[in-house]
Amino acid sequence: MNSFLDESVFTLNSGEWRALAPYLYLSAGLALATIAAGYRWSRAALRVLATIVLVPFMLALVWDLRVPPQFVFGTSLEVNALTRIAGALVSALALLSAFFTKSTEERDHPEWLLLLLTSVLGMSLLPGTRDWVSFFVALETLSIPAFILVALDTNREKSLQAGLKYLLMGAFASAILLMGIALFYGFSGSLDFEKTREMLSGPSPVGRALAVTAFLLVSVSLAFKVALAPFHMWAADVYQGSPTGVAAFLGTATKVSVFAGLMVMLQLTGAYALPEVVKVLMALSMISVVVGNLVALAQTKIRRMLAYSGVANAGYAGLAMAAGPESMTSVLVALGLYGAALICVLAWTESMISSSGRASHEDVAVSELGELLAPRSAWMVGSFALAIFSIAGLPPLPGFLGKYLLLQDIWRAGHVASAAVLVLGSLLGLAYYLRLFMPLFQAGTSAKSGTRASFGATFAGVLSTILLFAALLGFSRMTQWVEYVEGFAR
Amino acid sequence: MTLLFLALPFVGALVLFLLGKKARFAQVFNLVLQLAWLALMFFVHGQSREIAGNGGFPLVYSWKWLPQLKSSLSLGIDGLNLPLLWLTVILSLCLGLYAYGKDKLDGSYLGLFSVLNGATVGSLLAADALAFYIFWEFMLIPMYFLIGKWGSKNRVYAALKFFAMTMGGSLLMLLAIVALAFRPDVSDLGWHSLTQLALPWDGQWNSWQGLLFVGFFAAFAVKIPVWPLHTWLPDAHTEAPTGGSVILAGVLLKLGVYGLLRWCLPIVPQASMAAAPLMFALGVAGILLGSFAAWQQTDIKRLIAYSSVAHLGFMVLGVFSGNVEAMQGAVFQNIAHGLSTGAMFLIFGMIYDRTHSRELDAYGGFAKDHAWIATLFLVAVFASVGMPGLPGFVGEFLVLVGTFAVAPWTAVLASLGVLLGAVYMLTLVRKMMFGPTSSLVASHPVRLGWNEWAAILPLIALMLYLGFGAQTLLGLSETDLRELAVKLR
Repeated sequence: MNSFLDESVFTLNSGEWRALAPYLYLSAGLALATIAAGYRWSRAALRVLATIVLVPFMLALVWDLRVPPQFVFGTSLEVNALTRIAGALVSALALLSAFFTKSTEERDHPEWLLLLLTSVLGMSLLPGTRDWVSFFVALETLSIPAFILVALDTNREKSLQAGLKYLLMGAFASAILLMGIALFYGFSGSLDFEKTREMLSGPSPVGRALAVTAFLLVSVSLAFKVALAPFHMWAADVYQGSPTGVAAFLGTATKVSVFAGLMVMLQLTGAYALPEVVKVLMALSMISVVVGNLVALAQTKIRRMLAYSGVANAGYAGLAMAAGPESMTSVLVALGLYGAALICVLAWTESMISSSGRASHEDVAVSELGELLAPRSAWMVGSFALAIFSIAGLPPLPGFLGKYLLLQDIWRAGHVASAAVLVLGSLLGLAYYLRLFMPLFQAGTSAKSGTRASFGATFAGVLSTILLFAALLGFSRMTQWVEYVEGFAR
Repeated sequence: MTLLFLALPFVGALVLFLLGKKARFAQVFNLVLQLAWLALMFFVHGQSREIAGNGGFPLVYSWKWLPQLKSSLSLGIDGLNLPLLWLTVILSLCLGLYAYGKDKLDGSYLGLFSVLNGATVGSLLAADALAFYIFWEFMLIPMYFLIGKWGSKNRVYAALKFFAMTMGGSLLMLLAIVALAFRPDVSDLGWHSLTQLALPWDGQWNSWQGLLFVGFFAAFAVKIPVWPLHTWLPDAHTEAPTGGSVILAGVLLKLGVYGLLRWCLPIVPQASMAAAPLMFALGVAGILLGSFAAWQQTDIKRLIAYSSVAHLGFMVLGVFSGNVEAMQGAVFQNIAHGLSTGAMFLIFGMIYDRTHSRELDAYGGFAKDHAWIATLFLVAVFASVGMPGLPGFVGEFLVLVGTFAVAPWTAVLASLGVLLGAVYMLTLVRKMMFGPTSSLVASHPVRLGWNEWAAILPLIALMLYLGFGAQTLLGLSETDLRELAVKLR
């Protein structure tokens, strides 16, 4: 109890060292990134550094997957298979985004890598936290660098505006989260998830209404992080204003980490037993699906459209999350596949824009897509189309299988209305995904090649396409693996 | 071997995309690809000669692809899908020949076609409901791009309408498949376990059989298309590029009929038979209204498109009559109509490439200077009308005989369609081929290249072969359909 105040917490045994080792490696990389930022390393050097830090981190986590769960720092942090798998997924998505993160000023901001890695550290620890303090710390570790990343283009009004918006709303979200945590502490006298659960399920459940309120405050704060409606207002501006790579990182990795963290928290604190909490989560997700898809229909700019499609996709995952802790596998798989496809789309957009000679921060109107796509190779257009259709959930693309898994779990939990919302939402979504290609149909075939495409974006695009294909063919193996590993964590 | 047959178009498509704008290279590669595919088809046929046609839909390949979803990638061959596989392979070879030398039909176009071919044979071969659905939906994506990018003036509207309507129908089928998968007594979504289910039927449409029937039928009805869900077809056929029209009419519509026989009828037999009176009404409505609509068209491609609505109405009758003769007629008509309408679209496409007009009134006296082309077109027209000696006759005759045994008045009304078919088709021929030579025809002489002759002639030859040697095809599907008919009784 209150283990983080106990001094013995800070002496680690060998098992704890072992469990922490990858995170320490990441922290060391972080230190190196600080130096790199100070010496203003070139963009290429930073990308190499990102690879050197993130790939071994990811491999180490995957290598240790079957190592039994290990508590670190008393009971604050549990490094188990789920923590590791979420961390590996987050770092893979971060690495892909790192390949096309750049600021658009003449002068680069080399601190982006430092910020990105800090955020990854927070994200990879969040699903492993076992008390409210470390939960809060991990959440802030992932958010604070994100605020700066969004505003990285200090010369651009849009970027600053997005950063400020994100920061202000993030500050409110943190305050609300703290309020919820304070309530938990108030009625249980402890900050442990375990104690919260004991108080809820004990012989005389204390302050049930209080607990529900606290959970709702916490849920609202996390709904903000993953952009569940109606807490999604920042999403469109952030997607549009921030550098493309940052948008890709925030749109994918945050969702994986926060959904995993939220589900673990809900399970460990026994919140799934409170029907009010589950109902509110379900309602938030349903609203997200409806609002996200409807508003996306009205968008004329690509990144804003993708932002709202992201809201809808968070909604799909949220529906499965509300269905119970058993849907962890499908949520992780679906969000991972969504992430790979979104990065693919953003990377190709970036590559198209840079090769057409425009400033890369510009958000392109859907109607301009035709002339951007027409001169590009059939491979690129095909890969772009497949990624879009994967997000849309059309068979045979992996996104369809991910959605099918979500649907299966929702159906098993008996949430018929949720299942209907998922299916109808996907159908509605098709309208704006299909619309993306209409300008291509109208565009003439006059090839107008501009400057060379950005290497990083092209690389990320190719890599994410390969990942999508691998996921399609190896879908069952992948899902079985996640399921096995995740079962190991329980 | 079957897996290779399925995978080759997808692999070939990647190369074709890579060749991209180098149109001539892509066309040559595409021809090689199509020939290799044809060769593989011979192997597949040879391998399955013993097993196909003996009933039971034998599997030739199976891979546990998605065990979590109770699904596997299993492929089977029997008398129902073998002829359609041949039709797909032959039509796509002819289209490869047709595309040769046309600069607009570059690597992206041919690659999309190849993907479409792969998805088509995938849904023909699939012996697992989810795998079938995945391939079935996959056909939409390349077709959407083919119509949208290479179509004529109204292409964007037509592409979207085609996509939206087909997708809407298919989504109901997905719900049916998902509902089946979530049943505890369904161990896997394979064809063999689903057809063994024997779901109870008490005449209520909100029972399992009733709802599943609605789900499956919605997808196939849009594809066939059954009146009144046919409205996407005239637009899609008319706006699609020639190759797209040929594949749409020749193969994709046939998959609707195939889907009914393969999935809908065996899984929910009693509900299907209970729906038969309604289906007869819709089928007759399709035949008569489609014929009248065709009669009124001034756009040649639209006329042929509406004739498809009418002919597909016969197949709906055949399928839902539930007896072997009628179903055999439907299966035979599937192939016959694929060949004849495919040939009509192909020949007219070649003419259109020169004249750039689809207006029927702009033509006239075409036969005078183009006797051979006119003759070949006439063979296709007669095959479509149902002239004895050509395959259309065998199919429609069997359907009418089979339907008469079950619902005499339906058969009588439907046989009016045969008459009407002759009326509108011969009107087309008269206006287009005979009479005084119009200025359009006079100013645009049509000289076909070797590759274009080579594309048409196999289709004509096959029509003549099937017209006289119908038994080869009929014998192939007999056992399978007999099994199905027992189930339906």
